[in-house]
Amino acid sequence: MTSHNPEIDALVHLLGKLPGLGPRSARRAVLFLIKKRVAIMTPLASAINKVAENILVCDTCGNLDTVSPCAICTDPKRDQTTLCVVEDVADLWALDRAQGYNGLYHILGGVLSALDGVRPEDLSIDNLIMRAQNGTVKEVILATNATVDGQTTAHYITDKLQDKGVEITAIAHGVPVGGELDYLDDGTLTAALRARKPF
Amino acid sequence: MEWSDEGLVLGAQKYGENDVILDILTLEHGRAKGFVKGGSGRRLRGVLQSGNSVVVTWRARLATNLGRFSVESSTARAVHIYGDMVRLSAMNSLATMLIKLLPERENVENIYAGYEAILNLLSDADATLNHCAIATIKFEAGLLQSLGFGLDLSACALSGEVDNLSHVSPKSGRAVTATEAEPYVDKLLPLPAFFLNTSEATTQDILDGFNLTGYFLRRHLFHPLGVDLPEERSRLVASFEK
Repeated sequence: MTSHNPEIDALVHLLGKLPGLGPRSARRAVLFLIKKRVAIMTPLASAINKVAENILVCDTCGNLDTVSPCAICTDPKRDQTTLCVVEDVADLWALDRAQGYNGLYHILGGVLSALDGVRPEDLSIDNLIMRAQNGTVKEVILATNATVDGQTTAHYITDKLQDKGVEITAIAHGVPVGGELDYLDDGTLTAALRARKPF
Repeated sequence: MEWSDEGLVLGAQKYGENDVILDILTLEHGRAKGFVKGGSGRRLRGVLQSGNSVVVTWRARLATNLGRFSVESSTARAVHIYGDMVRLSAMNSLATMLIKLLPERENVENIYAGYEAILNLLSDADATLNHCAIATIKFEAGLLQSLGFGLDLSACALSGEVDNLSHVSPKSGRAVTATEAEPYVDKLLPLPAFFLNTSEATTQDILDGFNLTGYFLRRHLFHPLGVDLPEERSRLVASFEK
């Protein structure tokens, strides 16, 4: 480090561990924070502190919130009969941001992966099966990523939910909105053609 | 150091935010690993899915370095395979086996050819699931053979007869005829007919086939490594047991 100050060096070191930041970017961020001490640094420290103290993992769906069950699970306006299965909290946020779905979610906490040694017991699959059997849920929507690991996980869940009396659906894969066919990879084009529907 | 080759993606482990360590089976350089910058980014994530064919260039300062791959897509097969549980489990099982069993940077052209053929079959919508399973079992037997533990199904170990082979000795891996097998039938492994000819197979034949190759894979290759057969293989077998 180059600041000759252990407090600043510690801050640079910690910020440098954040995704997308290296030591150089962390130094720039620290200098920025010090310059904007009142406007940004103090509120940021306070916000980080609040999140660190209050954020919980929802026992029901795995979402992050200050209460468990989370606001999504207890929201009476949401459709309690559909359950959307996602890999990670970031996927839940992405789907909720799109406002195209108003049901409940279930976060798996990853995907099955032989290479990374992730087994079914490492994921929240048992909890999902229990939720799917509670009598209220009618449809489980599999929204795992369109990767080999994501689809392996989707097939595994489908197999486990086969006799549980719920409809199992999966999100479509194909051409993104605004996508130009010429620029799409072969796999996406093939998936799009396979998932074609009457127009 | 630099070489270019065509290869079949076996797997990619995330490294940092956007990069991966790619594990690939190449035609001339065997199984190889290398760093791919931006491998989990939007442009390459779809290309680096297990089962896809790619053209790679490997560069490193020394031959012993991990090295870097630059990758170009060749054939996208994963998308044809991941819609079906049996095909996907078969591919995952074989890819995991190749990762665990093949040494790095040793030419295995016959295994490459076999793996490419089975991936083409798994991605062919017209191929039946039974054919996919038979091809998987035969590939496993071929893998045993290539790694020095092949089954000897040419003639009966006791009588030397070449007809009516019905079982395999779990000790020697050699075939025996139905007559010779009779007194020891509970100790021998059933040999499905599709190993000897191209006849259609029943579900029981397929389960017998998985049991046969699984026994020798476990005994000769996986147990010495202190691990069991891939979990994906168990799921594949379970899908036929249902």
